[in-house]
Amino acid sequence: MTLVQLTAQKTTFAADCRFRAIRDKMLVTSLDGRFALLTQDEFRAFRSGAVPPESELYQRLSAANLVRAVFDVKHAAALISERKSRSRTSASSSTSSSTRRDATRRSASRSSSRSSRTSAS
Amino acid sequence: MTEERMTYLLDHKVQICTSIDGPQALHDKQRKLAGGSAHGVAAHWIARINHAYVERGLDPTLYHIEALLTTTRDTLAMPREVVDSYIALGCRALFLRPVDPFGFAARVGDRVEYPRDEYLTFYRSALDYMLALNRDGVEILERFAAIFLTKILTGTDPNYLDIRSPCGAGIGQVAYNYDGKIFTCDEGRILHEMGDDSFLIGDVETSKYRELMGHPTVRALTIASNLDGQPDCVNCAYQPYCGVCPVHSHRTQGSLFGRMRESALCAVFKGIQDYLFEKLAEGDLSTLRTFAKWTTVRERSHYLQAC
Repeated sequence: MTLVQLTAQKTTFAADCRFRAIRDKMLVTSLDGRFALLTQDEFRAFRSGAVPPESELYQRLSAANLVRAVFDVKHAAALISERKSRSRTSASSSTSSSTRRDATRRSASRSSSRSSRTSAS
Repeated sequence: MTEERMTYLLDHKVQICTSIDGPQALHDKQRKLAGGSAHGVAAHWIARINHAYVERGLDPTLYHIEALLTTTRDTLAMPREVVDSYIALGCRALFLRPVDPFGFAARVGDRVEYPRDEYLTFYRSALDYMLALNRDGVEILERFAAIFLTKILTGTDPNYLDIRSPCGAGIGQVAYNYDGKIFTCDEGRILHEMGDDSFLIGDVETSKYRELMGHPTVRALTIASNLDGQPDCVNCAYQPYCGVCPVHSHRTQGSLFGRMRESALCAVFKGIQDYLFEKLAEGDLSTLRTFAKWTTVRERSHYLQAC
Protein backbone atom coordinates (compact mmCIF):
# COMPACT_ATOMS: atom_id res chain seq x y z
CA MET A 1 0.00 0.00 0.00
CA THR A 2 1.22 3.50 -0.75
CA LEU A 3 -0.10 6.84 0.31
CA VAL A 4 -1.43 7.27 -3.23
CA GLN A 5 -3.80 4.38 -2.58
CA LEU A 6 -5.31 6.13 0.41
CA THR A 7 -8.35 8.03 -0.68
CA ALA A 8 -8.93 10.14 2.40
CA GLN A 9 -5.70 11.11 4.09
CA LYS A 10 -5.93 13.31 7.14
CA THR A 11 -2.65 15.06 7.76
CA THR A 12 -3.50 16.31 11.24
CA PHE A 13 -4.02 12.94 12.95
CA ALA A 14 -0.78 11.03 12.48
CA ALA A 15 2.42 12.30 14.00
CA ASP A 16 5.48 12.40 11.79
CA CYS A 17 6.32 8.79 11.03
CA ARG A 18 7.72 6.42 8.46
CA PHE A 19 6.17 3.20 7.23
CA ARG A 20 6.97 0.04 5.31
CA ALA A 21 5.01 -3.02 4.22
CA ILE A 22 5.91 -6.17 6.16
CA ARG A 23 4.08 -8.98 4.36
CA ASP A 24 0.37 -8.31 5.02
CA LYS A 25 1.08 -5.77 7.76
CA MET A 26 2.30 -2.20 7.77
CA LEU A 27 5.17 -1.26 10.02
CA VAL A 28 4.96 2.31 11.25
CA THR A 29 7.91 3.78 13.14
CA SER A 30 7.85 7.00 15.11
CA LEU A 31 10.61 9.58 15.14
CA ASP A 32 11.90 8.20 18.41
CA GLY A 33 12.02 4.58 17.22
CA ARG A 34 8.88 3.16 18.79
CA PHE A 35 6.77 1.20 16.34
CA ALA A 36 3.40 -0.37 15.60
CA LEU A 37 2.55 -3.22 13.26
CA LEU A 38 -0.84 -2.52 11.73
CA THR A 39 -3.19 -4.47 9.52
CA GLN A 40 -4.05 -2.86 6.21
CA ASP A 41 -7.40 -1.71 7.60
CA GLU A 42 -5.77 -0.28 10.72
CA PHE A 43 -3.20 1.53 8.61
CA ARG A 44 -5.93 2.99 6.42
CA ALA A 45 -7.77 4.19 9.52
CA PHE A 46 -4.54 5.61 10.94
CA ARG A 47 -3.69 7.63 7.85
CA SER A 48 -7.24 8.82 7.34
CA GLY A 49 -7.61 9.82 10.99
CA ALA A 50 -10.59 7.53 11.54
CA VAL A 51 -9.42 6.17 14.89
CA PRO A 52 -11.73 6.83 17.86
CA PRO A 53 -9.81 7.89 20.99
CA GLU A 54 -11.46 5.16 23.05
CA SER A 55 -10.39 2.40 20.65
CA GLU A 56 -7.68 -0.16 21.27
CA LEU A 57 -5.94 0.97 18.09
CA TYR A 58 -5.73 4.53 19.41
CA GLN A 59 -4.06 3.25 22.56
CA ARG A 60 -1.54 1.28 20.54
CA LEU A 61 -0.79 4.22 18.27
CA SER A 62 -0.41 6.70 21.10
CA ALA A 63 1.81 4.26 23.01
CA ALA A 64 4.12 4.33 20.00
CA ASN A 65 3.95 8.14 19.89
CA LEU A 66 2.20 8.08 16.52
CA VAL A 67 -0.76 10.34 17.34
CA ARG A 68 -0.18 14.04 16.82
CA ALA A 69 -2.73 15.15 19.40
CA VAL A 70 -0.97 13.33 22.23
CA PHE A 71 2.57 13.45 20.88
CA ASP A 72 4.89 13.41 23.88
CA VAL A 73 7.75 15.71 22.90
CA LYS A 74 9.68 15.34 26.15
CA HIS A 75 9.54 11.57 26.11
CA ALA A 76 10.48 11.47 22.43
CA ALA A 77 13.43 13.76 23.07
CA ALA A 78 14.57 11.58 25.97
CA LEU A 79 14.34 8.43 23.83
CA ILE A 80 16.25 9.98 20.94
CA SER A 81 18.85 11.25 23.38
CA GLU A 82 19.21 7.75 24.81
CA ARG A 83 19.66 6.29 21.33
CA LYS A 84 22.32 8.86 20.53
CA SER A 85 24.09 8.74 23.87
CA ARG A 86 26.95 6.66 22.48
CA SER A 87 27.68 9.30 19.86
CA ARG A 88 28.50 11.83 22.56
CA THR A 89 31.54 9.95 23.76
CA SER A 90 34.87 10.12 22.01
CA ALA A 91 36.68 7.30 20.29
CA SER A 92 36.51 4.35 22.62
CA SER A 93 37.24 1.51 20.25
CA SER A 94 40.55 0.96 18.58
CA THR A 95 41.52 -1.56 16.00
CA SER A 96 45.19 -2.27 15.64
CA SER A 97 46.64 -4.02 12.68
CA SER A 98 48.65 -7.01 13.74
CA THR A 99 49.06 -8.55 10.34
CA ARG A 100 52.44 -9.96 9.49
CA ARG A 101 52.15 -9.52 5.76
CA ASP A 102 55.03 -7.79 4.06
CA ALA A 103 54.93 -4.83 1.70
CA THR A 104 54.79 -6.95 -1.43
CA ARG A 105 51.58 -8.59 -0.26
CA ARG A 106 49.99 -5.51 1.24
CA SER A 107 46.69 -5.75 -0.55
CA ALA A 108 46.39 -9.49 -0.30
CA SER A 109 44.39 -9.82 2.84
CA ARG A 110 42.51 -8.00 5.49
CA SER A 111 43.70 -7.35 8.96
CA SER A 112 43.85 -10.40 11.13
CA SER A 113 42.83 -8.39 14.12
CA ARG A 114 39.36 -7.05 13.43
CA SER A 115 37.57 -6.47 16.64
CA SER A 116 33.89 -6.91 17.30
CA ARG A 117 33.59 -3.13 16.81
CA THR A 118 31.42 -2.48 19.77
CA SER A 119 33.16 -0.24 22.19
CA ALA A 120 31.00 -1.70 24.92
CA SER A 121 32.27 -5.20 24.37
CA MET B 1 49.65 -17.93 18.17
CA THR B 2 51.94 -19.50 20.73
CA GLU B 3 51.51 -20.32 24.40
CA GLU B 4 53.71 -17.35 25.26
CA ARG B 5 51.67 -14.93 23.15
CA MET B 6 48.40 -16.30 24.46
CA THR B 7 49.58 -15.83 28.06
CA TYR B 8 50.67 -12.26 27.31
CA LEU B 9 47.30 -11.41 25.73
CA LEU B 10 45.31 -12.97 28.55
CA ASP B 11 47.49 -11.32 31.21
CA HIS B 12 46.76 -7.96 29.56
CA LYS B 13 43.02 -8.65 29.31
CA VAL B 14 42.91 -8.45 25.53
CA GLN B 15 39.66 -9.78 24.14
CA ILE B 16 40.45 -12.24 21.37
CA CYS B 17 38.34 -13.15 18.38
CA THR B 18 39.10 -14.89 15.12
CA SER B 19 37.62 -15.69 11.74
CA ILE B 20 35.90 -18.97 10.96
CA ASP B 21 34.27 -19.35 7.57
CA GLY B 22 32.18 -22.39 8.44
CA PRO B 23 32.90 -26.11 8.08
CA GLN B 24 36.55 -27.17 7.80
CA ALA B 25 36.53 -27.83 4.05
CA LEU B 26 35.06 -24.42 3.29
CA HIS B 27 37.33 -22.59 5.72
CA ASP B 28 40.45 -24.29 4.43
CA LYS B 29 39.46 -23.57 0.85
CA GLN B 30 39.14 -19.86 1.62
CA ARG B 31 41.98 -19.45 4.09
CA LYS B 32 44.92 -21.41 2.90
CA LEU B 33 47.66 -22.28 5.36
CA ALA B 34 50.88 -23.68 3.94
CA GLY B 35 51.44 -27.19 5.22
CA GLY B 36 48.30 -27.51 7.30
CA SER B 37 44.66 -26.86 7.94
CA ALA B 38 43.84 -23.26 8.86
CA HIS B 39 40.60 -24.47 10.42
CA GLY B 40 42.42 -27.10 12.47
CA VAL B 41 44.86 -24.54 13.85
CA ALA B 42 42.09 -22.06 14.62
CA ALA B 43 39.97 -24.75 16.29
CA HIS B 44 42.95 -25.83 18.40
CA TRP B 45 43.57 -22.30 19.70
CA ILE B 46 39.90 -21.61 20.28
CA ALA B 47 39.72 -24.67 22.53
CA ARG B 48 43.05 -23.84 24.19
CA ILE B 49 42.16 -20.22 24.96
CA ASN B 50 38.67 -21.15 26.18
CA HIS B 51 40.32 -23.62 28.55
CA ALA B 52 42.72 -20.91 29.70
CA TYR B 53 39.78 -18.64 30.55
CA VAL B 54 38.36 -21.40 32.76
CA GLU B 55 41.77 -21.92 34.38
CA ARG B 56 41.75 -18.23 35.28
CA GLY B 57 38.38 -18.60 36.99
CA LEU B 58 36.36 -16.75 34.35
CA ASP B 59 32.79 -17.73 33.59
CA PRO B 60 32.96 -19.68 30.31
CA THR B 61 29.46 -18.54 29.31
CA LEU B 62 30.77 -14.97 29.23
CA TYR B 63 34.41 -15.45 28.40
CA HIS B 64 35.14 -17.54 25.35
CA ILE B 65 36.48 -17.01 21.88
CA GLU B 66 34.03 -15.71 19.34
CA ALA B 67 34.54 -15.83 15.61
CA LEU B 68 33.51 -13.83 12.58
CA LEU B 69 32.22 -15.34 9.37
CA THR B 70 32.72 -13.93 5.91
CA THR B 71 29.89 -15.18 3.75
CA THR B 72 31.15 -16.05 0.27
CA ARG B 73 29.38 -17.58 -2.71
CA ASP B 74 30.32 -21.06 -1.46
CA THR B 75 28.80 -20.34 1.95
CA LEU B 76 25.34 -19.63 0.58
CA ALA B 77 24.49 -23.29 0.06
CA MET B 78 25.26 -24.34 3.62
CA PRO B 79 23.46 -22.21 6.23
CA ARG B 80 22.87 -25.12 8.61
CA GLU B 81 26.39 -26.49 8.25
CA VAL B 82 27.83 -23.08 9.11
CA VAL B 83 25.71 -22.80 12.24
CA ASP B 84 26.56 -26.35 13.30
CA SER B 85 30.27 -25.75 12.79
CA TYR B 86 30.19 -22.75 15.12
CA ILE B 87 28.31 -24.66 17.80
CA ALA B 88 30.84 -27.49 17.51
CA LEU B 89 33.63 -24.98 18.23
CA GLY B 90 31.91 -23.81 21.41
CA CYS B 91 30.84 -20.44 20.00
CA ARG B 92 27.60 -18.90 21.20
CA ALA B 93 27.40 -16.19 18.59
CA LEU B 94 27.62 -16.09 14.84
CA PHE B 95 28.09 -12.98 12.73
CA LEU B 96 26.75 -13.65 9.26
CA ARG B 97 28.62 -10.85 7.52
CA PRO B 98 28.31 -10.55 3.76
CA VAL B 99 31.50 -10.21 1.78
CA ASP B 100 32.63 -6.58 1.60
CA PRO B 101 34.39 -4.64 -1.14
CA PHE B 102 37.66 -4.21 0.72
CA GLY B 103 41.01 -5.96 0.70
CA PHE B 104 41.19 -9.62 -0.23
CA ALA B 105 37.47 -9.81 -1.03
CA ALA B 106 37.86 -7.00 -3.56
CA ARG B 107 40.67 -8.86 -5.30
CA VAL B 108 38.73 -12.09 -5.67
CA GLY B 109 35.28 -10.58 -6.00
CA ASP B 110 34.55 -12.40 -9.24
CA ARG B 111 34.88 -15.71 -7.38
CA VAL B 112 33.27 -14.94 -4.03
CA GLU B 113 30.63 -12.25 -4.71
CA TYR B 114 26.88 -12.86 -5.18
CA PRO B 115 23.62 -10.95 -5.52
CA ARG B 116 22.41 -9.68 -2.16
CA ASP B 117 19.00 -11.34 -2.49
CA GLU B 118 20.85 -14.68 -2.45
CA TYR B 119 22.63 -13.60 0.71
CA LEU B 120 19.31 -12.70 2.30
CA THR B 121 17.87 -16.12 1.42
CA PHE B 122 20.90 -17.65 3.12
CA TYR B 123 20.49 -15.34 6.11
CA ARG B 124 16.83 -16.26 6.53
CA SER B 125 17.59 -19.99 6.36
CA ALA B 126 20.37 -19.68 8.90
CA LEU B 127 18.23 -17.59 11.27
CA ASP B 128 15.27 -19.97 10.98
CA TYR B 129 17.61 -22.79 11.93
CA MET B 130 19.12 -20.84 14.83
CA LEU B 131 15.68 -20.00 16.17
CA ALA B 132 14.75 -23.69 16.01
CA LEU B 133 17.94 -24.60 17.88
CA ASN B 134 17.16 -22.03 20.55
CA ARG B 135 13.71 -23.55 20.93
CA ASP B 136 15.53 -26.81 21.71
CA GLY B 137 17.71 -25.16 24.33
CA VAL B 138 20.85 -24.50 22.26
CA GLU B 139 22.23 -21.02 22.93
CA ILE B 140 23.36 -19.44 19.70
CA LEU B 141 22.70 -15.90 18.49
CA GLU B 142 23.31 -13.96 15.31
CA ARG B 143 25.05 -10.62 15.77
CA PHE B 144 23.30 -8.56 13.07
CA ALA B 145 19.96 -9.65 14.52
CA ALA B 146 21.10 -8.90 18.07
CA ILE B 147 22.31 -5.41 17.09
CA PHE B 148 19.09 -4.47 15.31
CA LEU B 149 16.83 -6.09 17.91
CA THR B 150 18.54 -4.22 20.72
CA LYS B 151 17.73 -0.97 18.96
CA ILE B 152 14.20 -2.04 17.99
CA LEU B 153 13.10 -3.61 21.26
CA THR B 154 15.06 -1.81 23.97
CA GLY B 155 15.42 1.72 22.63
CA THR B 156 19.13 1.68 23.36
CA ASP B 157 22.11 1.46 21.06
CA PRO B 158 24.62 -1.36 21.40
CA ASN B 159 27.18 0.94 19.79
CA TYR B 160 28.09 -1.22 16.85
CA LEU B 161 29.99 1.45 15.02
CA ASP B 162 29.14 0.40 11.47
CA ILE B 163 25.38 0.58 12.10
CA ARG B 164 25.09 3.86 13.90
CA SER B 165 23.99 7.38 13.01
CA PRO B 166 26.44 8.99 12.71
CA CYS B 167 28.81 6.07 12.22
CA GLY B 168 31.81 5.61 14.46
CA ALA B 169 34.49 6.67 11.99
CA GLY B 170 36.90 8.84 13.97
CA ILE B 171 34.37 9.78 16.64
CA GLY B 172 33.83 6.23 17.93
CA GLN B 173 36.88 4.40 16.71
CA VAL B 174 40.24 4.80 15.08
CA ALA B 175 42.44 2.21 13.40
CA TYR B 176 46.20 2.07 13.84
CA ASN B 177 48.24 0.51 11.08
CA TYR B 178 51.39 -1.41 11.87
CA ASP B 179 53.45 1.48 10.47
CA GLY B 180 51.95 4.03 12.87
CA LYS B 181 49.49 5.60 10.48
CA ILE B 182 46.06 6.35 11.94
CA PHE B 183 42.78 5.95 10.07
CA THR B 184 39.15 6.79 10.73
CA CYS B 185 38.28 3.10 10.83
CA ASP B 186 39.51 -0.30 9.73
CA GLU B 187 37.84 0.04 6.34
CA GLY B 188 39.77 3.26 5.78
CA ARG B 189 42.97 1.47 6.80
CA ILE B 190 42.30 -1.32 4.34
CA LEU B 191 41.68 1.16 1.53
CA HIS B 192 45.11 2.66 2.35
CA GLU B 193 46.55 -0.81 1.83
CA MET B 194 44.80 -0.78 -1.53
CA GLY B 195 46.36 2.56 -2.47
CA ASP B 196 43.62 4.98 -1.39
CA ASP B 197 44.64 7.38 1.41
CA SER B 198 41.28 9.15 1.67
CA PHE B 199 40.78 8.10 5.29
CA LEU B 200 44.30 8.66 6.63
CA ILE B 201 44.02 11.19 9.46
CA GLY B 202 47.35 11.11 11.21
CA ASP B 203 50.39 9.32 12.57
CA VAL B 204 51.16 8.10 16.08
CA GLU B 205 54.48 9.99 16.06
CA THR B 206 53.16 13.42 15.17
CA SER B 207 49.39 13.71 15.52
CA LYS B 208 47.60 15.15 18.53
CA TYR B 209 44.29 13.71 19.70
CA ARG B 210 42.44 16.95 19.06
CA GLU B 211 43.79 17.10 15.51
CA LEU B 212 42.51 13.60 14.84
CA MET B 213 39.05 14.21 16.28
CA GLY B 214 38.64 17.51 14.45
CA HIS B 215 40.16 16.31 11.19
CA PRO B 216 38.22 17.44 8.09
CA THR B 217 37.84 13.81 7.00
CA VAL B 218 36.28 12.87 10.34
CA ARG B 219 33.87 15.80 10.03
CA ALA B 220 32.95 14.79 6.48
CA LEU B 221 32.29 11.19 7.51
CA THR B 222 30.17 12.31 10.44
CA ILE B 223 28.00 14.43 8.17
CA ALA B 224 27.78 11.76 5.47
CA SER B 225 26.70 9.06 7.93
CA ASN B 226 24.04 11.11 9.68
CA LEU B 227 20.82 9.45 8.52
CA ASP B 228 18.82 12.63 9.09
CA GLY B 229 20.72 14.03 6.12
CA GLN B 230 20.59 10.99 3.86
CA PRO B 231 17.95 11.49 1.13
CA ASP B 232 16.73 7.89 1.14
CA CYS B 233 17.28 7.09 4.80
CA VAL B 234 15.44 10.09 6.17
CA ASN B 235 12.07 8.63 5.22
CA CYS B 236 12.92 4.96 5.70
CA ALA B 237 10.95 3.10 8.37
CA TYR B 238 14.23 1.63 9.63
CA GLN B 239 15.91 5.02 10.11
CA PRO B 240 15.86 4.87 13.94
CA TYR B 241 17.73 1.57 13.95
CA CYS B 242 20.06 1.75 10.98
CA GLY B 243 23.38 3.19 9.84
CA VAL B 244 25.47 3.71 6.75
CA CYS B 245 29.18 3.27 6.07
CA PRO B 246 30.53 6.23 4.06
CA VAL B 247 33.74 4.33 3.37
CA HIS B 248 31.69 1.56 1.76
CA SER B 249 29.80 4.19 -0.29
CA HIS B 250 33.10 5.83 -1.28
CA ARG B 251 34.51 2.50 -2.39
CA THR B 252 31.45 1.19 -4.24
CA GLN B 253 29.77 4.36 -5.48
CA GLY B 254 32.50 7.00 -5.54
CA SER B 255 30.76 9.24 -3.03
CA LEU B 256 30.83 9.50 0.75
CA PHE B 257 27.07 10.01 0.74
CA GLY B 258 26.36 7.24 -1.73
CA ARG B 259 22.95 6.34 -3.13
CA MET B 260 21.22 4.03 -0.72
CA ARG B 261 18.63 2.67 -3.13
CA GLU B 262 21.53 1.17 -5.12
CA SER B 263 23.67 0.24 -2.13
CA ALA B 264 24.37 -3.43 -1.45
CA LEU B 265 24.83 -2.60 2.22
CA CYS B 266 21.44 -0.90 2.40
CA ALA B 267 19.86 -3.94 0.72
CA VAL B 268 21.36 -6.19 3.38
CA PHE B 269 20.33 -4.01 6.32
CA LYS B 270 16.81 -3.58 4.98
CA GLY B 271 16.51 -7.30 4.26
CA ILE B 272 17.62 -8.27 7.76
CA GLN B 273 15.23 -5.84 9.39
CA ASP B 274 12.41 -7.05 7.11
CA TYR B 275 13.04 -10.56 8.43
CA LEU B 276 13.10 -9.43 12.05
CA PHE B 277 9.88 -7.45 11.77
CA GLU B 278 8.21 -10.36 9.98
CA LYS B 279 9.08 -12.52 12.97
CA LEU B 280 7.86 -9.84 15.39
CA ALA B 281 4.62 -9.61 13.42
CA GLU B 282 4.17 -13.40 13.56
CA GLY B 283 4.39 -13.15 17.33
CA ASP B 284 5.55 -16.71 18.00
CA LEU B 285 6.27 -16.77 21.74
CA SER B 286 9.37 -18.90 21.46
CA THR B 287 10.84 -16.57 18.84
CA LEU B 288 10.00 -13.50 20.92
CA ARG B 289 11.68 -15.07 23.96
CA THR B 290 14.80 -15.78 21.94
CA PHE B 291 14.82 -12.24 20.53
CA ALA B 292 14.51 -10.81 24.03
CA LYS B 293 17.41 -12.96 25.13
CA TRP B 294 19.52 -11.72 22.23
CA THR B 295 19.09 -8.14 23.40
CA THR B 296 20.39 -8.87 26.87
CA VAL B 297 23.67 -7.10 27.46
CA ARG B 298 25.94 -9.25 29.59
CA GLU B 299 28.81 -7.16 30.83
CA ARG B 300 32.27 -8.56 30.41
CA SER B 301 33.95 -6.34 32.95
CA HIS B 302 37.15 -8.40 32.95
CA TYR B 303 38.12 -6.65 29.71
CA LEU B 304 37.58 -3.13 31.05
CA GLN B 305 40.81 -1.34 31.75
CA ALA B 306 41.55 2.05 33.22
CA CYS B 307 43.51 4.38 30.96
